[in-house]
Amino acid sequence: MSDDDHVEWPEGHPGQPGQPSFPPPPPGGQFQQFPGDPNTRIPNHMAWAIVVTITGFLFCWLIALPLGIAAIVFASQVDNKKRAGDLLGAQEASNKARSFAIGATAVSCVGLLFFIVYIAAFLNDPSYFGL
Amino acid sequence: MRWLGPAAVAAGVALGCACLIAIDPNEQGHYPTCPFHASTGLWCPGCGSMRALRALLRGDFAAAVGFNLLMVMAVPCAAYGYLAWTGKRMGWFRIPGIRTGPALAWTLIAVFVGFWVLRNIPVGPLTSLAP
Repeated sequence: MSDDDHVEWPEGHPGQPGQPSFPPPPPGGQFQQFPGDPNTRIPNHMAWAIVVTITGFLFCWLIALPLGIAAIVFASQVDNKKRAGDLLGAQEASNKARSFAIGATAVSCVGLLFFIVYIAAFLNDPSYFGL
Repeated sequence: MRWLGPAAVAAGVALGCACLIAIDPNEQGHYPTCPFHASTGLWCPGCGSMRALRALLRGDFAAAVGFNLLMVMAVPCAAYGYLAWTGKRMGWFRIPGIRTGPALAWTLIAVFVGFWVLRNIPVGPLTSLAP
């Protein structure tokens, strides 16, 4: 999913690949190879943040929610900071968005695990649930 | 290994659908109750989504809308996002993906919270939003 999150630079930008002043970004999503290089791809992790906020809410409603919202807040700063030329700030926001998204994903997975254990327990012995 | 992500999502969705068909969420106790609904008696924005998905799987669109309008609207969006992501990742085809940005994130949160409030108001046409 992170492939969708890269910021595309407009045509004619001085840092376009093919111009000798900056080496082109390495393929395969390697980030921060050249600090300060406008070619550096900084993922905003927005899709991940949105998806994990909603699934986190559904599976583990109050615990994952603040983590997901924090991920969205930092994810929404990435593109703005990059556009303003603040590459280090953008990278920092991207890293924070990623950290919070990982946290929300982990909490969601715990919620999902509880869900699965519950269903397994029900299938094993429905009488335990009064049925 | 590019296929791993799309394949994992497809497998998870298939497993979930099979579970929803095999174990009826309309029966009490089959699945864990929403913690928000269990603790407050109010409906959360996700309440009824499992019943809605099951109704959709069985082709009962009207019942699905009655259980959870948001989930019914989210299904085609998720399907389109999955198609765009898979096509791009596997190099099969290219259709414009869902553009994720701050605007989309805050709109989704506003819709979510709005739905949350509206479906708990026990007046007139709003009651049809509750599951």
